[in-house]
Order: sequence, then C-alpha cells, then structure tokens
Amino acid sequence: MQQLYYLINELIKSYHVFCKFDKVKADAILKRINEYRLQLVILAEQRQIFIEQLNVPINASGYKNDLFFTHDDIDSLVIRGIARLDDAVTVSLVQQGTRENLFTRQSVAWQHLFSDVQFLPDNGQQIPFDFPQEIYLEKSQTLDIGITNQTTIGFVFVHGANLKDDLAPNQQALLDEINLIEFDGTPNLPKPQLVPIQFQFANAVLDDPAIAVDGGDQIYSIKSERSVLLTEVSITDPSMRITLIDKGRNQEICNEVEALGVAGLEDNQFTVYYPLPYPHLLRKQDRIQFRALNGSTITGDLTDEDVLQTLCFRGFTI
Amino acid sequence: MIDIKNTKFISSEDRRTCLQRALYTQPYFYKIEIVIPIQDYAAGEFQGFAQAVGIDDDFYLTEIQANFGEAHEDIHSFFNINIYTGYNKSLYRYDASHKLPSGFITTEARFRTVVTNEVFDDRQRENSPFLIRKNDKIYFEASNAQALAQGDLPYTLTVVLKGFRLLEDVFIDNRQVDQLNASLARPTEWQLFAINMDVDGKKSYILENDNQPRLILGFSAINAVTDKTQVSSIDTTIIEVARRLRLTDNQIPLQFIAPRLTCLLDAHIYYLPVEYYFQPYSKLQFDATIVNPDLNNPTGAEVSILTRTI
Repeated sequence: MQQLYYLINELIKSYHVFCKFDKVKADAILKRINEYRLQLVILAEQRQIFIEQLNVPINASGYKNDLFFTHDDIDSLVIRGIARLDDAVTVSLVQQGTRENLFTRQSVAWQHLFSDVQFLPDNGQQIPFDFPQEIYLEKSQTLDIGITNQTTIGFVFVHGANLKDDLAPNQQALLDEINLIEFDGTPNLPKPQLVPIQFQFANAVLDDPAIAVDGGDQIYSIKSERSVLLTEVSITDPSMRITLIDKGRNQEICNEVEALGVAGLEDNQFTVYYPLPYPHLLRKQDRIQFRALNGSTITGDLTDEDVLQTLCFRGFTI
Repeated sequence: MIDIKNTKFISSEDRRTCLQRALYTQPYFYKIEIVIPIQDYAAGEFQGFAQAVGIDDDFYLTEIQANFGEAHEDIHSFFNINIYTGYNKSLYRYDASHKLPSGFITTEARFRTVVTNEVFDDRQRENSPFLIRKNDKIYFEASNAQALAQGDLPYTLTVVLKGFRLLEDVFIDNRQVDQLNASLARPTEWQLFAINMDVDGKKSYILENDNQPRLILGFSAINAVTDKTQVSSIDTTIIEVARRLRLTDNQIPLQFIAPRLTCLLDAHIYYLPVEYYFQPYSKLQFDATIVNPDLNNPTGAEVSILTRTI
C-alpha cells in the first residue's frame, strides 16, 4: 500500500504537468490516480487497525514463555511486531489452527522477527519493518509467540488489522468524495495533512490521566471537512500508555498500550514516524479520541507536568 | 520520489512520460531564514514571526528540510514551527493557530559526523504535491521549545522548501527531437558527473554534459574530511546554462541539495522533486561561496549528480 501511495504521488506530479500541454493525457492520468485512490481507500475501509501489547512476565530462569495472540469472532491480519526484549532472547512464531504453520523452523534471535522500540540501549533495529508476508489469522486460529531467555519484564507490540465481516464499503460515498471539484474548478487531489492531538499532564505521577490543553478531560483531534487517510504516527514524549479510539466508527485502535510500541518519537534520529499497521481512513467530520496515563513501564520514566505534548498523525486527504 | 519510477525496470511508456514531464517542469528550491538575535539568548525566549518568501510562479511543494537538529546541538533547544501561505491556508495543519514541534513537519538536512550526533530523522521524506499559487507567499514562524543556550553570535534557522514549477514556453528544435528519439530507442544508461568544490570564497563551478540528452535524478556529496569541525560550509546556487533556468531562489547550503558526510549511513543521495532535462552540451553552473573553518587547511566537497539517458 505504501508503494501505491508513492506511485499516486508521482502520478499527481505528472497530472499537474500534463494539464499544461496535453489535456487528454492529463485526464487519463487523473483517471488512474482516482482508481488507485479508490483502491487504497477501500483497502483501508476493509481493515480495522489495532496495536496490541503482550507482556512477558518476569522469569528469573529464562524458561520459555508462550504469548498467545488471537481475536474472537473476527478474522485478522498481523503485519509486524515491535518488541522490547533482552539482547540474547530467542523467539519462535507458530500459527496454530487445524494446520500448524511454523514461521520459525527453530527459535531465532528476536531481532530477525521484530524491530526494537526507540529507547537506548538499542537491542535491535529501531526502524519498524514488516514480516515478509502478513499473517492471516482466521477466527479459530491463534498466533503463538514463544520467548526464551527473557528474565526481566518484556514487551511485544502486535500491529495488525481485523477484517470486517462485511467487506464491501460504501463505494459510492468514497467515489463522490474522490470526484469532488474544488472551489476554483480544479479536481480534488490528495494533499498532505497532519492530524495533531495536543494534551498535557497535570501531575508527573504514575497513572495520572492526560488532560486537554484547556484542562478538560476529553481529548480529541480536530474535525475536518475532508476524509484523511492516516498513514503514520509520532509523539513528542513516549513515557505514557495511550488509548486511541476512532469515534466515528467507534473503533478502538489501541487500549492502554505503551506509546513506544505505537508511535515514533518526534525528535528521533532513526525515524520520526512509525507506520500505522495499515492506512486508516479518518472519515470527514470524524474525530480520534485520545486518552493516556502517565508513566512508562518500559523506561520507568514519567512525562513532565504542565508541558504541552503532541501526538501527530500524518497522511493525506483522499 | 522519482526513484520509484526511474529504476532499471522503467517501461518505454514511462520513459516517454518522464521525458515529457521533464521538458515542462523544473525542480525549484526556496530558502527561508530566521535569525535568532543575541538578546534572545539572554532572555531565553525567541519568537520568530512570519518570515515570508514570495512565490513568483505556481509552485508545487513536495518536501521541507531544515537544520533544527543542528540547531539543537548548537543552542540546545528544540523548535516549534508553523508554515502557511498568504491565503492563510495551512500547509500541514488542521489548525494553523498553534505551532507544532518541527520534527513532525520537516526532515533534517544531512550534515553529520557520526550516527548519534544528530537528533532528527534526516532521510528524504516526500509528500503529495501542494500547490502554492503565483504571487502568494509562504510564511514561516518558529519559537524555541526549551531554554536557549547562550550564544556569541546570532544563530540562523534555515528551512528549504523543495518542489517544482511548470514551464510555460518550451521549445526544442528538430535536432533535439532526433536526439531524444534516438535516446529513447536505446536502453537507458546511468552516469555520474562529479565536481570538486574546494576554493575558499566565491567561485563558479561548471559541470558540462556531453552529446547525450540526459535526465538529472539527484545529487550527492562527499566531504574532503570527516571531522565536522573541519568541514567547510558551502552555499550555492544552481543554474542550468542552456535553458537559463535557476533551480534555487538564493544561495542554499549544500547539505539541503545533497546529503553530506554520507558514507556512514543509508541514503547517499537526495532525489530531485522531478527529473530535470539536461540538454546535450549544456552546463550546470554552481555559484558557490565556501567558508573554510581553517584557512591554512581548506577543505571542500565532491558533488556528484546522478543522471540517466532518456
């Protein structure tokens, strides 16, 4: 899907150019752009993204721990994992169902499967990477992540999406928005867009809830008159556990998950933005609700009180 | 980025499209500077208001680079910024009334000695083209997010807006049409052109094309020394002589055009917003001002351009 987005960008450039001297070709390019956009948006509509946190308990012996990941009553896709584990930990990955699918023939160093969180010391790659192929889990199946040699508390963040049973989104509504004409008579083309959510903490105390800039307890992104395809997310301080809910869809993206497993750091040298599991369509006039509790279990750090913090999604209008 | 199209797998149809696109466009870079005066160091607070750059032709913005990571190393503060156009249209915000931390919007111009030295992500990051119309202005504001470290000199925050403009009057003669068709009939070949920029003070450097029509895809740079304290500062304009086109509105630090000190890391090249058509026998002229930290030991950089035949 990322490749598709880059291709759309290149086509938009070509479209602007051909508008000047070859209107027929420009129209043909616009048609391709709109086809790809619709394809991207439908792919996004069919997926309900999630980020889940699996905790590895303290185990002084380092014996194997099995983390089981499954979603009840819905099929899902798992695209990547981000972990915080000891350097020498090995992992196995098995899809359990009527037929077992072994992704690891034997236990392998966890750095082969997962990227590391953006916190020093770095035990693995700090730029997230995807599995070679996404893992499709049917309702009845479970993903077994076996972890050996982890003696302290560890974390694995699973990025993926649930597949809605009703796979056909309202194509006409999407097409209507894609085919909009701007007020100056030009066609509506994708534009870059940031969706920031600003908040702060009243106290630098563990489990203190985040409050809005005006001091209220409800924190939302701002509404927009255009739908935005969110592709990436970043945050100014990761020392908190966050909950994200798309209120329009009433869809929970993550629930009290360590920010280090969800968002890149705004001032990080390796990568500022973490990709979302899949692009998420924030429909026009919808908002994302944000909740957070102060303090990170991974780092043991707290976010400062009375300092404005920002979580920011990046994407483009459809 | 244009590397997604200009691979070894490029189709003949895409080659033709790239050529047509290149004939009617030019990459263009605007520079915005905000100076932090010395008295603001003492006050510990800086508010840079609405520095504007005028747009003299329709400009499609695709990328914003800045030196905020370098500024953080030097004066120990992060910055919050806002970028908007004269029509009060926000480029990257739902809500233009608040500034955002700079890392959400800009990437760092690569200029570093070791990996851990810079704060911000300095890989190239391109967005969908955003049209800023002729006669509009781009406004840029910045304020410090932490207390400023005491400085002895005013500090300059630099932001470069990268994008492309459309050309109104394009003329190619029959000979060039033959050359282009001949090139399209052959497989593509890539070639690097390189030049050493190393003389202290002002000087023009010329890169000359041969008899092949080419497309310029991107720039890269290698410094003569790896110690950043010894690395010269290079500000340059880029002018293409045959078509008399300027690619920059002003002298721009080299690290915004090509990633400097790049042997260390992944991206060794900055791709242009669009392919640039480089005529046979044309010249690319760099009017550079080089300042060496040590006059007794002048250093410079080797700048290379990646090209391919049509």
